[in-house]
Amino acid sequence: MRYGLGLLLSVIPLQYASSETSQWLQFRGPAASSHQPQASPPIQFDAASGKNVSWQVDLPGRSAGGAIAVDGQVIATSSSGMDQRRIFISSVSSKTGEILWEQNIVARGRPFCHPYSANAAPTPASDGERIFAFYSSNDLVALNLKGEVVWYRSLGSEFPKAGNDTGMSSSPLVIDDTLVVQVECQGDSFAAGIDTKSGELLWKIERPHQANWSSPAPWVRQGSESMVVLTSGVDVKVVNARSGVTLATLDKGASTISSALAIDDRLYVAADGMTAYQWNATTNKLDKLWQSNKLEPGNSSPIVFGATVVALKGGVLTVADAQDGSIRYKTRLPDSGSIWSTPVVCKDNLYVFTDTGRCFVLTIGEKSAEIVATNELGEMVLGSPAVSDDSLLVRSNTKLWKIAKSE
Amino acid sequence: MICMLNFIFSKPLLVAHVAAAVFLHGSQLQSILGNDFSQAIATLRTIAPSENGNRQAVPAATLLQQASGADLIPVLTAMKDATPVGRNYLAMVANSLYRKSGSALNSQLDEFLQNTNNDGEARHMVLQWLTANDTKKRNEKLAYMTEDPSLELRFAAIELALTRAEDISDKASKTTRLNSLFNSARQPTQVIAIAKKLSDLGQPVDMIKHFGFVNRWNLIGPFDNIGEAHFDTVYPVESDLIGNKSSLSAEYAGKSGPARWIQHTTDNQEGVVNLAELYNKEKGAIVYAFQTFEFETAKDIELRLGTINANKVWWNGELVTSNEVYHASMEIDQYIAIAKAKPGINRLVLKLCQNEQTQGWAQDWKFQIRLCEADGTAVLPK
Repeated sequence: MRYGLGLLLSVIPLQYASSETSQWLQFRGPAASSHQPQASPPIQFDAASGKNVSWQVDLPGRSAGGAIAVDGQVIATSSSGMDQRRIFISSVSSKTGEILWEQNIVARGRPFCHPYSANAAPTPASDGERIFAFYSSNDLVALNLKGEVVWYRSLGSEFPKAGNDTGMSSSPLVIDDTLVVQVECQGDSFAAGIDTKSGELLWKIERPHQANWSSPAPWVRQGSESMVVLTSGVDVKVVNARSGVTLATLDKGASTISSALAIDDRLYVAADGMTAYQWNATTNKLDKLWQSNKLEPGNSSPIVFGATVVALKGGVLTVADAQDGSIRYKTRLPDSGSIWSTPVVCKDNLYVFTDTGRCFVLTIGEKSAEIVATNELGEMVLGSPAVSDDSLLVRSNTKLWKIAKSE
Repeated sequence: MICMLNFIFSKPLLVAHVAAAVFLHGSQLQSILGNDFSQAIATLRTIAPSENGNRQAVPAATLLQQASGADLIPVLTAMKDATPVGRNYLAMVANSLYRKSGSALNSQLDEFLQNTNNDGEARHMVLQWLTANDTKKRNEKLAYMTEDPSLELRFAAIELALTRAEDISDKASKTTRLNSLFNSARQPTQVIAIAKKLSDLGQPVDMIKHFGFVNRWNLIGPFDNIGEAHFDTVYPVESDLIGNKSSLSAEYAGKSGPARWIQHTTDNQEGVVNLAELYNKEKGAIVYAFQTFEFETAKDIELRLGTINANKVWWNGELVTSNEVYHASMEIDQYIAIAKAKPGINRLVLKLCQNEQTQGWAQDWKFQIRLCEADGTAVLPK
C-alpha cells in the first residue's frame, strides 16, 4: 500500500480556531458521553454526489478507530505495510482537509489482528496540548500539536506477553493529567495510568487474564476525585485516575466490547443486558438501581441523554427510561449490517454508522424514533464519529471525512 | 545464546551499545547543538523499553528536535543498529527535522535511500518523503527493490511488481516473473498470494520448502489438560524429551490410557499439523511433538511457530518460548524464538495444549513451525 504523505514543509501554524464545541478529544467525546447537545451536523449527506461533504482525504493506511478534533486539527491513526507494522498519526486541517503533519514509526509489539480490524484500532486521545496514539501492538506515542514526539512507550516490549492476535482495540483515556490504558488479554494483562507530560508510569494494576476490547471510562463527579471505570468479562472496577487505587469492585462480568458510561452519580454498564448503578458516597460502593435484559448494547457503548438511555444491538435500537430502565420502544434499522461504532447524539438526532459506511440519522422521540435520513459514505466505518461544532468527522477504512453543511 | 523475542525488528541491546560507540567515533557530527547533539543521539540509540529508558529518552528527543533540518542525515544514520525503541525515537525526530529541511537535502536523502547498508526503517521513511504525492517516482524507485535487504521495502516492491505482473499477457513470461517474485518474497501473506497465482497458472510451488516448515513429526498424546490445569505440569514424557532420555518406542500414561508415539507427515503446504483431526477432536488435552535436525555447522536460527493453542517450545532441551494463550488467532510466524543450532543432532520439542471451550471457533487444535534465518529465509537441515 502506498504511504501517501502530504507533509507540510513549512512551520506549522499553531493558532487554530478552537471552542468548547469544536473539541472532541477522545473516544466518545466529552466525558465519553457520545453527546454534543449544541451541534447540528447535516441530516443528509452523500459521498457520491459530495452533498454536505466538506472534504475527504486519503490516509496512509487503515483504521478501525475514530478520529478526534483538537484545536482545528483532526487527528487519526493508521496502520499499513508488512504485517501492518508501519503505524501513523496524521493531522488534518479541519478547515481545509489539508494534511498538516504526519508521524510514523514501526510497531514493536504484536501487530497481528483479524483482517476486519487494524493495528490502528484504538481511537487516539488528547489533553488539548498533546496527542496520544495507541495501537493494537501496544505502541503508545505522545506528540505535541506540531507532531513532535513528547514521549513514546513500547508497552508491547516492556510487557512482551501483552497482546491479542485477534487484535486489541481499547482506546486510551485522558483524565486528571493521566493517560489510562486498558491492556487486557490472556498474557500480560493490566491497566495503567501514565503521566501525560512525562510518560512515566504512575500506576499499573493486574487485570483478568482474558481478552477484552472495552475502553476505560471517565467518571468525574462534582466535588469528588477523578475516577476511571474498568470493565471486563469478570468484573467492574472503579479506580482513582491518578493513583490507580481501587475505590469499588463488582464481581460481575460485563461486555468485553461495549464500554461503560458514567454521568453524574450514575454508572451504566453493559452487564446482564444493561445495569445502572448509583455511587454511594457514604459507603463508597456502587448501589444497583436497575437492570434490564431487554436493553443490551451490542458492540456499541450505551448512550444517555436527558432521561433517555439508548442501546444498539444487531441493528435494533432500544430506547428506555434512564431512571428505571423501562423500555419505551424499539426501532429496527433496515439492512443495517454490522455496527461496531458507537453512535453520537446531536440535539435530538442520533447518528449511527454501520460497517458498510451507511449512516442512519434518527430523531429520538418520547414514543418512537423516526429515521429521517439514510446516508452513504461507501466505505467501511468501524470507528465512532467525532463531532466538532456542526460537523461530523468520520474515519472510514482508508479515508477521513468532514461532514458539514455546504456553504 | 537463546532468547525469546516477540517482534522481528529487535536487536540485542549489547549490539546497539557497541555500534553506538563505533558510529559516534566514525562520524563527523556538526550541529548547532554541539556535543549535546552527539550525546543525545548516542542516548537514543541505546534506549531500552523500560521506565528508565523513558526517562533517558524524553530529554534527548526534546533536545534533538531543536536541531536544524541540516542535522537530518546524522539522525537517520544513527538508526542503524539502534535498539527498537531507540529507532522509533530517532525516526520521529528525523521526521520532525525533515519538515524543517524541506527538499534541501533531497539529493543526500536519495543517496541514503540507495545505500542498502543504511537502516531499512530509515530508508523506508526516506522513500516516503522523497516520493510523497508522486506515485510515478515511488514506483520507479521500488522497481529495483524486490530483493532489498530491508524486508519492508522488499515487501512494498513486490506488491508493486505483482500488480505489474498482472499485465503480462504471455503465460510463460508471467510464470517466470512470478517465480522470481516468489523466490524473493519473505512476508508470509505475500508468499502465499504469489503461490496461489502460480498454482492458478498451473505451476504449483513448494511452500513447505520455501518457508522451511517442518512437516514430518513424531507425536504423542493425549495427556490431560482438563480445566487448562496442566500447561505447567511436567509429564514424564516431557522430562524425558527435555532431558534427551526419550525413546520413540516408549509408552506413557495418557489421559485415558497408554499414550504411544505416532509418526505423522503433513502435506499441508503451510505445514499445518491438525491435532484435532489426529486425536479425535479431544478436548482438555495435550500433545507433544518431537523432531531432530542435523546441522553440519553451528548456525543462528529462528524457530517461528504459529498455533491457536497454548504452547511451549524447547530447542536442545532449553525452553525458548512459552505462550499460555488459547484461541486468539493463528498466524504464520506468530511466535518467534531465536536459537542456535549446534553441529550434529538438534532436538525440537513442542507442547500443544487444547482447552475445553465449546464455541465453534474454539475447536481448532493445530500448529505449524518453521526454521529460518532472521530475514525469513528457510533453513533446511537434514
